[in-house]
Amino acid sequence: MGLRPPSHRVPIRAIWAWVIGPAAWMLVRTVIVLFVVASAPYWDVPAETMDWLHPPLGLLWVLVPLLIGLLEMVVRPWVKYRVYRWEVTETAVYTRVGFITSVTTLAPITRLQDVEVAQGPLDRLLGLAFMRCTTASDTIVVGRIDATLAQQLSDRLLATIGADTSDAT
Amino acid sequence: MSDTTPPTGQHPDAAPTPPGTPTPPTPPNAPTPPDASAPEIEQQPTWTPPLPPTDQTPPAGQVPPGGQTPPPGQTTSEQTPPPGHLTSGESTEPGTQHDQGPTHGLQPGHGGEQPSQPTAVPYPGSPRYGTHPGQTPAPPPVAEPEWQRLSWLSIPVGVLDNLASLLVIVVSVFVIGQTGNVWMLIVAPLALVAQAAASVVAYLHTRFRISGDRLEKTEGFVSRKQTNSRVDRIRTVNITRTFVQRLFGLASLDVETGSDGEQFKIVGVTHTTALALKTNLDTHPARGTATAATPGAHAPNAGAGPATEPGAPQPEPSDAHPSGHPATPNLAGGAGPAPGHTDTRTHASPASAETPDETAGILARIQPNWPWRAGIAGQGLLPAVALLGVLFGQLSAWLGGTLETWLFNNFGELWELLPHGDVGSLETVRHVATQPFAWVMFFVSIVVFLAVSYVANVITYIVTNHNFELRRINSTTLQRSAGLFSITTASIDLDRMRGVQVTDTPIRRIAGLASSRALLTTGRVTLPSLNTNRLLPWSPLATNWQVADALLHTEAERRTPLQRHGPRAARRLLIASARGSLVLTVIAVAFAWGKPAGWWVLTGVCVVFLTVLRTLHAIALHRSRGNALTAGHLLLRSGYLHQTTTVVQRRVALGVRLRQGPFQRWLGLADLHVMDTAQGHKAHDVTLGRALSLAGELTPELVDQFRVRPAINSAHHLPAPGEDSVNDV
Repeated sequence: MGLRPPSHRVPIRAIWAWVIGPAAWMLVRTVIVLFVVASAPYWDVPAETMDWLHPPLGLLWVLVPLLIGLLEMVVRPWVKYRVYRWEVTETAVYTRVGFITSVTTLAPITRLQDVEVAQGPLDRLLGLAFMRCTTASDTIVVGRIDATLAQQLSDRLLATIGADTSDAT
Repeated sequence: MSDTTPPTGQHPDAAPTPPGTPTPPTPPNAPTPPDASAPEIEQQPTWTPPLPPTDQTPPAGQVPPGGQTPPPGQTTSEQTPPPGHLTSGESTEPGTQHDQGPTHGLQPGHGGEQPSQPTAVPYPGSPRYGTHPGQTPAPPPVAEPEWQRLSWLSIPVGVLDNLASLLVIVVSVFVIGQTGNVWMLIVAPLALVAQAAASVVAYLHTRFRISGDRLEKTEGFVSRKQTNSRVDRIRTVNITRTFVQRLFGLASLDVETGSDGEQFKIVGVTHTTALALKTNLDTHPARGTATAATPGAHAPNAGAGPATEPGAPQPEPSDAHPSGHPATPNLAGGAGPAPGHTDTRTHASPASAETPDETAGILARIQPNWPWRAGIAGQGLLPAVALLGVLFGQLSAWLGGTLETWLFNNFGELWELLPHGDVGSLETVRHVATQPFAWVMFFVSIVVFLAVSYVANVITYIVTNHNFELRRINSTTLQRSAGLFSITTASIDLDRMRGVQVTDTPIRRIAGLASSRALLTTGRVTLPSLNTNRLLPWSPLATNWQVADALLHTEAERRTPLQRHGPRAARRLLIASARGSLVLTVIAVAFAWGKPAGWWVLTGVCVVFLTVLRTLHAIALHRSRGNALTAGHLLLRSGYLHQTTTVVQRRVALGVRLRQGPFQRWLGLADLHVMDTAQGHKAHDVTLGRALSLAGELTPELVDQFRVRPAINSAHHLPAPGEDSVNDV
């Protein structure tokens, strides 16, 4: 009765993508906040109205985002790695994503309309690619997988889609 | 109306098509009057446009004889348009349009339409994006059909239409504000001038046509916009006419296509043009092909179709109407086989005669008691409040303030209590609650509110649905028309229909009312619902199901009892409801903290009341949910405040998606989302076992390959990640 999970996990190096991405954002956020906090004393504003920005209270504004960012870097990638699964068979795309709310999707290849493979700079560095498929009304996220594999898969899927002449309705 | 707009004269550019224009196929005669070029496009001699809608009698005379003569060549023309496109209303009109009906389809191109003269083709390069592979291979543009344009009357109509709404605003400002607002005197004329300018630009720069299997439009002056929609992606074609447009014999055409997420809208063409366009679209071969079914009507087309197709992509909008044309040779020549057929449908009345279709006929028509029943609910409350406010203000002013004085004398005590510091004290609450007059006024105002909103609802309903009629005009097209001042005529492509959704609300359920809409598929994306797929307005439930059964043939299947979602689903709803109540309680306590006892009583009452309501709603929601799978259809019911019952063909199922939140995992439930080409269909909180069995039955070849051998997993359990062998790739 039950469904077995999709057979493939994302490659473990995808974790780096999930770590480095948020880390970069965290850095940017921290720098901005730091700049604001550090420059606050020089603003032409009555100091007492800006108490919340001055150290020591002002440091909270730096530390809290830092903490959140760290959590995002440490916990989230592992959870994602454990949860994300995908499989592409001769006839179907089968994926599972989501941790708190898990979403399992099954779609026939013949009804796909588009396959998208995207690579950010980080992905290129790690040899990964983000793949997702589109049906008439939905997007099915396969996830970050090996770039070469993604290319092969996408070629294969597109060939199948192209061969099918119906209008995918 | 001058609708009969001067044909040629108006458009500067309207000069007869220059010989040079692309009418490749045109036979030798080409040079001759445009019409000669039978096969193609150009023929449209400019003939007078149709008359005002009101009297559409087709002035036979109008048509330039030559124009439509069907040159022999035409025979190729493919298809006679099937008859039935007219709205019932139109039927009254003499067959004008109809007659032409056939013609249009066939001639590739000509836009006989009035407005469209052979205007110079301003935008030669029509926006033709790549044809889709699957589609009919449009041969290289044989001859691009002529562009058509708006009626010049759209200028005054645009201004007048705007004037009407502007007047409403001005009047309400004066009435409510009571003092004349000088600004309005300045702004209003400016708005009118702006509108006039916009109308002129729209008139001068809007061109549209059906070219091959594409519906094209260019518009705009400062920023030019080209819209290009595939005809085979069209889901509904609507004709809307505002009151002013009706006076001037104009109409607007709304085409809903699934392809680009946009509505294709042409505002301000003559009614006849609109009808002709609609007819052409409704009967366009690109849409018709799917439906092999219709015997009579289509047959001719079919035969002819292929032949013609290559050559001429398509039916132009142009021919429309015709008013006079009917007689024109075109018919004869072009549609040889079809003439008979074509007309038939159009004349709505004796429908039967011609159509072989046993399917044609009226499916539903408004009954006198519908408005009275439908008034029980609606958006009437807002107008009611506004009206009461205005009335009160006026009354008070006329009485020289005596109304306020009177109210103050009777309610003064209450008002005096309010500003004081002890608003929340128990005494205040008790005091207010023990004033008999307060209660009397309370109930009186409720009754007045309800009465006014009921009347407003009934009026709104009548304005929208006057003369409502749902008619099947042939085996593939459904037509709905209604309206008191502005009339909407919509056609729905039955080939695209995959199911019906019947909706009702608790209050309307008391009156036994429901409304329904068609579930349509498109090749690609689906738009958010635009109401164009509506089948019935608020009407008796039984009528809704009769229509659904007639369209889907589901009489027997619909009796299948729905499977309820079970106790675990109920538990989940109650948990969610309790969670909400908890949050509410926390907020209430925070609010009442430190306030006098009266506030605690008030907030306490509110919290208890809302909690009870939420719990009752959760129970009602649970009871309303159900699902069933029959031989050919999936039946789903959900919602309580907005209950929808969906009957949809099993074949729409494209894929499935299961969603499980933490509570659902705990309870062994899942939300099942059956994906189709539109928004899909959802069953919330079904047991995992049921979800999987539904998914398995809907798409067996998809699901079966991923099933776990029974021994390994229990039925109600999606294996956790890592439970089964996994490969890293």
